[in-house]
Amino acid sequence: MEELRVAGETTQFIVIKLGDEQYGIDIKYIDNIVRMQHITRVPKVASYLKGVINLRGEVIPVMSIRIKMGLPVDEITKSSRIIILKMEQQGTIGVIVDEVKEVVTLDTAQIEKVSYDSKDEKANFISGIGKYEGGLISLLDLNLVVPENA
Amino acid sequence: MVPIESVVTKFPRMIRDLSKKLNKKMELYMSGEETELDRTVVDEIGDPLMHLLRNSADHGLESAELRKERGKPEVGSIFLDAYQDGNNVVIEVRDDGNGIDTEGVKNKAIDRGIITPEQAESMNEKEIIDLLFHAGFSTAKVVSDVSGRGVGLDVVKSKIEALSGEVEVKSKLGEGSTWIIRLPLTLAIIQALMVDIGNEKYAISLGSIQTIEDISISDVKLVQNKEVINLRGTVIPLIRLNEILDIPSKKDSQDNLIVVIVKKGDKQAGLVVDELIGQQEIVIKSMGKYINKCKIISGATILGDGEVALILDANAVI
Repeated sequence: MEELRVAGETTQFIVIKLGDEQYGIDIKYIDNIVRMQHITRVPKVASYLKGVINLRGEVIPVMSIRIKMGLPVDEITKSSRIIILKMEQQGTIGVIVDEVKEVVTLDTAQIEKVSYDSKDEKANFISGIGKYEGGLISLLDLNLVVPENA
Repeated sequence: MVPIESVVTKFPRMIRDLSKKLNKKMELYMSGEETELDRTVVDEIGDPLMHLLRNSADHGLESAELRKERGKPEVGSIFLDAYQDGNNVVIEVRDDGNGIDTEGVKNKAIDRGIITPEQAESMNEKEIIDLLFHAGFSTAKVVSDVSGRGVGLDVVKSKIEALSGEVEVKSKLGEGSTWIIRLPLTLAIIQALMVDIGNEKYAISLGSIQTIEDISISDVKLVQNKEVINLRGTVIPLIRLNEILDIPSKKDSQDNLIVVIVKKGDKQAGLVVDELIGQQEIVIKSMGKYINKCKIISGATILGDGEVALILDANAVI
C-alpha cells in the first residue's frame, strides 16, 4: 500500500467486522461480495482454507481471516458474507467476514502507520489504522493475510 | 470436446509419402482415434505429433538392410496410440526402429557445446535423452528435407508444455523408442461415479474404476497391520477414504463395506465409501493454483444443484 503515503491522495476501503473490531479492505482488490453459501471442504489443506465455493460456475477457494489471524473460529450468522478478492499473485480468493458495513474514503492524513510489535502475530496483518468519524479501522494488508502459497 | 481423429487422419498418407521419399518401408498403426480432447488442444497437437512421426520415420527406423541384419521385419512399424488415463490423455508415438543412441547424443551435445565432456560423464541416460529437447539439436548426420532443420524437438516440447502437458521418452537402443505425450483433461468432461463419504460428495473418474464390490467386514484381513481383501484370488489393499480425507464416517459399525476397486497400471486398491450415488457426466474445473497442495484431489466439479464436489484422483490414492 505504498500509494497511501502519497500526500493528499485518497483511498476507498470497505469496512468489515470481525468480532468487535472493524477492518478495512482496499476496494481495488474487491471483485464481489456474496452471501454465505455452502462451502465444500477440501481435505489436507491449511486450516484457514475453508474450502471451495461455486461462484457463478467458477470454483473459488475460500479462506477464513479469523483462523489466519488467530481469532476465534467463524460463527456463521445472517450477516456473514464472503468477499471475493482478486489479487495479482494469488488469483481469485474468497474471505469470510462477519459483516460488511460500508465504504469509506480515507485520505493519507487519516491513516496512521502502525509501529507494531513483530512478536504480535495479529498486528502483522495490518498496514495502517484509519481514523473515521471517531472510530478506528484497522486496514488489512491483504498480501500478508492471503499468503502467496497456501 | 472433439475426438483427435480430425488431426490424425492425415497421418497415414503422410507416412506413405515419407516412405517413398526416404525409401524405407514402413507402416503406421493407429489406435484410440476416438479419444476426446478439448478443441483448443486438438487444434494445437497436430504439428507436434507430425514432428514426432517424421522423427520416427527418419531417425528412428533403420534402413531395410540394417533391419534385415538385426533380424527385424523389413517393414518398419510406427504406432500412434491415444488413450485416456485418469485425468490425462496420453498419446504415444512408438517405433520399432533403432532407438536413441545415447552415446551419439552425448558426443553431439559436446560438439555443439551444449554440455562439457565433464558434465557428460556424470549424466545418466534420462538426462542425455532430455538433451534432445535442447534448442538447436539435431542428430541426423545428413540434413534432409524431412527432418533435421534444427527446429526440432524443443519446439515440440514447448508446444506441449504450453498446453500444460509433458513429453517423456523411453528408448532402448536397437529396439525402438516411445514418445509419450501426456495432456491434462482440463476443461474436459468425464464420466464419474459419485459417492458419499460422511456428509460429503466426491467424484471418482470411471476410467480408473474396475468394479464395485460389497464386502463383508469379516472378509477384511490384516496384513502388516493394513487392511486387505482377497478378491477372487487377488489381494487388494483397502483404503478407507474417510480416514485419508479426514471425514467422520456416519456409519461406524457396518456389516458390509462398499468397496470401489480402482486400478493404476497393474496396481489395484479398494476404496471404502459410505454410499454410491450414481454415474454422472461431470465437467472438470480447476480449483485454481491457490489450492494445490492436496494431491489426492485432482479438481472440482459443480453439480446440478450448484454444490461443488471434489474429484478424487484414484491414481494419487494408490
